[in-house]
Amino acid sequence: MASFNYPFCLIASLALLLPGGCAYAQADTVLQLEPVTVTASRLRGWQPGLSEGMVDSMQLSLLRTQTVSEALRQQSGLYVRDYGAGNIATASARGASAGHTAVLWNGIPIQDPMLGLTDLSILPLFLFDEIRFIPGGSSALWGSGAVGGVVHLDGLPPANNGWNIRYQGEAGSFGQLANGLAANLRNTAFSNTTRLFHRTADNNYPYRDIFSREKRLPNAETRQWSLMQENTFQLTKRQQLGGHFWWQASERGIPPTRVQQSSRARQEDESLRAALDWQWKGDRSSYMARLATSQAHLIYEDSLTNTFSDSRTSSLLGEIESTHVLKPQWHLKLGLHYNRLGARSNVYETDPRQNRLAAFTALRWWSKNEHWQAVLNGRQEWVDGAAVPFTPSLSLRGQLNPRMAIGASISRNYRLPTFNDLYWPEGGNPDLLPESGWNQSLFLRAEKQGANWSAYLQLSGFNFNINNWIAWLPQGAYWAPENVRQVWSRGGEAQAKLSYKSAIGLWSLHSQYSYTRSTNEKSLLANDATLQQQLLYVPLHQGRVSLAWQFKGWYAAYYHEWTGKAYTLPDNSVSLPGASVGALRASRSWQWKKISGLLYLHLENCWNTDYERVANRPMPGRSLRVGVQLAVGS
Amino acid sequence: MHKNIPHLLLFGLLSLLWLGCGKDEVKPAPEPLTKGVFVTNEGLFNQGNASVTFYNQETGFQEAGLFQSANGRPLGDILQSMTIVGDLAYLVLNNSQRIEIVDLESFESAGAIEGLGAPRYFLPVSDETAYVSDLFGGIIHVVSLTERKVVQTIPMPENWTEAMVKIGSEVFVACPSSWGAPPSDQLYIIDTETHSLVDSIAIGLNANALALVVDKAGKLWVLCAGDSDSSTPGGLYQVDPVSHTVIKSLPFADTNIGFAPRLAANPAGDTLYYTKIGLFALATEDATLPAQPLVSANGREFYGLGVEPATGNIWVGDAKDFQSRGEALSFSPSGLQLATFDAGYLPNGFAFK
Repeated sequence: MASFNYPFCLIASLALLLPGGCAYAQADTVLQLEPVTVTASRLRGWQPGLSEGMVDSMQLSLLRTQTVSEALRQQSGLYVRDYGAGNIATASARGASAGHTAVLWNGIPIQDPMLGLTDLSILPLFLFDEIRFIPGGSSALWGSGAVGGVVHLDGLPPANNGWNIRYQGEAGSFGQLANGLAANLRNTAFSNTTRLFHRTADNNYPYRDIFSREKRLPNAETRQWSLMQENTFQLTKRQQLGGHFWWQASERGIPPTRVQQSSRARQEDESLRAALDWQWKGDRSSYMARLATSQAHLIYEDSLTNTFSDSRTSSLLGEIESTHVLKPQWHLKLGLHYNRLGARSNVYETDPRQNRLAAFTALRWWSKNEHWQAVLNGRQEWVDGAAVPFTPSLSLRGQLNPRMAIGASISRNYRLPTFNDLYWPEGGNPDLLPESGWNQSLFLRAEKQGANWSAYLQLSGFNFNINNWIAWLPQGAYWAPENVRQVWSRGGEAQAKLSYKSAIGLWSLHSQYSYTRSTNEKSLLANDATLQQQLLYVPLHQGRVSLAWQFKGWYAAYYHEWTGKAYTLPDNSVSLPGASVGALRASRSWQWKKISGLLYLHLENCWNTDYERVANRPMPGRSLRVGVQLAVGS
Repeated sequence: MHKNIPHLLLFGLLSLLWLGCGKDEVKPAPEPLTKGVFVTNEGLFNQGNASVTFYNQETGFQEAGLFQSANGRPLGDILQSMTIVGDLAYLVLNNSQRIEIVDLESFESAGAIEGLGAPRYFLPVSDETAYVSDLFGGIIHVVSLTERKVVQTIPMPENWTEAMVKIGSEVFVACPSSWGAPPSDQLYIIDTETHSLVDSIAIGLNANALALVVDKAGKLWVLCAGDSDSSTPGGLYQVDPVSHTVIKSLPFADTNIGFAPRLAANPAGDTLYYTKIGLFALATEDATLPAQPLVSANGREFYGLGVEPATGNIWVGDAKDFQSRGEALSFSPSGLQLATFDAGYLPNGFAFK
């Protein structure tokens, strides 16, 4: 407490600012306990050795009517497997599969227990204040699935006392229509955030089928409704209570692939999530307890193939955590997590349930000059009483000088088999072991500022193995999952940002490149054609560049992303070709008394590239979106 | 920097020339498809990589991706079967919901039949009409061969209609049970005069009939998958197509039938070949099933099965791991391996010319 090092705090905060460079204030102080916060990122600062990617706030504000998958496309080290506009989208990080990316809402895992995945296409950005992607393994903090990286979707309480109401409306090509309304209220004892969101789209964009016919995508319409309510109550000076409630429903058609003539498949998703958290902060200790529940209902029907599945999943989560200052330079965190998962589906023969209990601890150390930080974590989980691999991690960060920081992390990580892996009636394998392996990562960050310019560079590298990789293989008359492979992924990312302030505005150039080599190194199968081959849908190369200009309320930007070829068959004999996709986005903001407004225009896929993120699932060509944001407040 | 520009330009021009040369190197004109074996490679679901491989054993000529070469576009998705009718071949594309019609000499597209749900097999029942079975619709599509469209559908008691054989004026239809449905023990009979279901034959408990052939005595043989849920083994059943009764039942020893058992007869019609993991031979007069296979699978995934009418040689498709390109293998009637060549993804059948 005594030795506050403000310049260092500032640098530490700056270091957390990401290439997006949004004006985000890291509230963390160094040797104090973190202030009581309702954001889930209570474990922020407990992984100092991992780099962090945050979606640029300006971009986020312009993409609010879109989904999380759209925002994650801008992130280095991620490949978003997109089945087309409005259709399923998942993210795989650093060469692992989509099931190896944990998705957390305010720290609560929201993966579907049956599939072990999160469909990002039904998560509207409008509901979240902050989207962060942390590449690298962190099962020691977040448990199963945090292998390739973690996506955090967080709500933040209103920044200032008072009230405000925000509205966003948008219309676009292919029948896109979206409306969002958010109301915020805050005083010293209470805060409220309410969000309502509705979106519809026909997604009937033109495409060419493999029979060389020009068509419009049929059966692709989507409709979605969301309601989110978040409150905090300052009970006493030291105690806070938080409540979170999130309901959403969506229905959509599943369009045919390029190789099909038609489709009558439909999917309906509905989910209800609620969480209650209590926090108490003392001078030397703080405590947190949380109870969260999630109910999800998924109906899939296809009258063409006589398929009907009706699945309900549930999750009950209880967490207790405490943080203690042992000595000025040493902090200790202890935690106990309980999660009960269940599923009921007409495709299962039983109603599977799973009880997961985990204990974790973390020890954080700062050097005397506060330039170095180390965290040692350990987490042990038991699934229905059986221990899964113990996951330790060591994470280090050092400030070499005011302009340069390095970070390193070594961790063990795992992913539990999904309910489908375990309980699918024909093939489900209850004897599957969790996938697990070690992960090492490094980053170097440098920044420099002049009178009217700033530059930023981040280089990162990673290396990890996943043993007991689960693959579905033909076994007799059907396919069944087995722990058969060992996957090795390694690569690196580079990000650079240059900003320059001239008389005619602020210019920023942002570029990213990632290289990911992810191969199957060992296999229990004889003549496994995937041996030494790159994993499916992991492009070796990906790059993005954007140039943005801001001047007196005007904003214009050009975004360009390039994705290298991605293999679509395990023996690497067929691949999706690389594709370049550009977007032009412009906006104008204004202020009139207490009303602020923003009008924007987006030209997405402006070069009209015909491309795919999943084989034979065409992505939309050139499209236009026009929208308005209005905010009024005290 | 400026000094480099001429070099760059030169390099660029040379590259263009090189690329241009590459493009001029056209393949030799395709050999007319006079005589040989066609392998139907169903391809992987939604990958659009169904293909037909052609092989002429005498000249050694081989062409992979016959349709793509002849037409400059992919064939479609999940090539379930190929049926030769005169100078045309009907290629049934299950997940593309259509039948591609090609000229058998050039393999150029000669039209298509659309409006099918999930077509499986094609059976001409007259000069004018063919039946098409369907994986999901619970129907047989009646297709006009001149109009090239579905003119009628015949509702069937089971959702999945599979193999069909025409004997006299009747078509026998194997209908395995769909996923999740109770096992089927019936073989269904359609009258081709009225295009209606007229009778059914109880084959055996939980039989799940899959494949059909006719022997030299004109009797019908039915390969049944059985039902692993109730541990009922499948087997081979001989059926009298006139009296609609089962003559002989030869159940398998177990329910372990591999991914997709298949059935074929030799040209004389006195020997049946079937795959049940390995390749087995059965004389139609035999009273029991063979204990030993004619050819062991030895880790191979026997998928497609066909018998060459001219030689009686047996062709088998090895689907490997069901995700990679497969192989076609031929064996003499005594089980000696003769030829082998690379096929496409999941070689599931053969046609001969």
